[in-house]
Amino acid sequence: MQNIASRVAAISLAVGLLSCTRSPSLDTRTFELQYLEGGTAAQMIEPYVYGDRPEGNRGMISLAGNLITVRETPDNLDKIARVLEQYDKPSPMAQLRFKIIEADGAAQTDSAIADVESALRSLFRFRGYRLLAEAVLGGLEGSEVQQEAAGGDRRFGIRAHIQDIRGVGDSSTVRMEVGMWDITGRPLLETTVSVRTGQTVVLGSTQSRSSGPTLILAVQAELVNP
Amino acid sequence: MNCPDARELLLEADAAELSCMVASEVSEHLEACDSCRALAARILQAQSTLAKELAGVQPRTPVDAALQSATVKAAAVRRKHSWWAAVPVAAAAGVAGLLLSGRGGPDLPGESWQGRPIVAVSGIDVEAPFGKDVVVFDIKDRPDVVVVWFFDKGDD
Repeated sequence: MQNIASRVAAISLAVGLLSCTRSPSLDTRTFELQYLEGGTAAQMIEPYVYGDRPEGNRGMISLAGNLITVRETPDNLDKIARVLEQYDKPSPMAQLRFKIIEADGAAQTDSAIADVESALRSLFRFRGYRLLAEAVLGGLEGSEVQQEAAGGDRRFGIRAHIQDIRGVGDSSTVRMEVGMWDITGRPLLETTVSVRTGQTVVLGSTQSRSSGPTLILAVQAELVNP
Repeated sequence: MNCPDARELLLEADAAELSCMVASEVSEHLEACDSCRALAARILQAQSTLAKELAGVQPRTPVDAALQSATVKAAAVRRKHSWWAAVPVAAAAGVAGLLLSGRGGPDLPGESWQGRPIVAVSGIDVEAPFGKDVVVFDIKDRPDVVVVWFFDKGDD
């Protein structure tokens, strides 16, 4: 009787050991990327792929164009599919509307800048404000765009590097580097600012009287695919 | 009152309090604390600088009156290891709120520093050009417009 019991115990132990050392069942699946770069996607899913298992049972990732093929356990492949589904989406795009305004340039009210002008008049007492030029720039998150803005006999360059777009809808914020220069290439303004969608950020700088009228740059940001 | 509490209040204190000309908890603390008094002196200096700068912008009304049309919200920008000078420019108590602040720099105010200031008021982050300070006007009843004004650092 005791002999039988010890045999059962030995068999149980052997079964237990076998189940502990059993190789995981691996499967292979290929995912087609729509927007993500292959390298970026591989970096994202790397934590789900176990390349340190014994030879023959290692997880693997391979890239070919916009296809990413993964060898892993079915459970991990499902997790990877969920991660890619969540993040393989188009980058947000912002439209930036710039207005270059000259302070002390006109005694009359300029209806084209009425919303900004009333705010400026509540702060400063320049004789007047007038719109010199406008520009609309659009770009994906991470992109850099520039454009010439002309109005009358004045020409300017405007550059925006859209660093980051956060949030959705009305609560979105676009962080950007903004630069403005005149026709000779002289920088007039250079800053980094975050702009909430629906909000106008008015940028101005005190300058010496010899450098001419004060120039003000107003910028509005909207999401194109919020 | 301890230093952190006092420094929070310094951001909204008026010139009289910063100069210890009135009896208040802040003034009392400033009289006893060298480092906070140094910060207060710096704030006063910055207010003076800003007043001159705004006059240079050419307002035909006093700077105080111009500032009175804006709402003040001062917020301290806290950094991981240091904060040095958060300078609200409130010409009249509780009226206009602006914030000048530095990123990095010495642990305590009182030293000359030419870093790039950054400001965070009303959810806006702005980085001033090198050598410039920045003022953010959060305009009363106009949440749709924020005015950011740069001026030369240290132009007294």
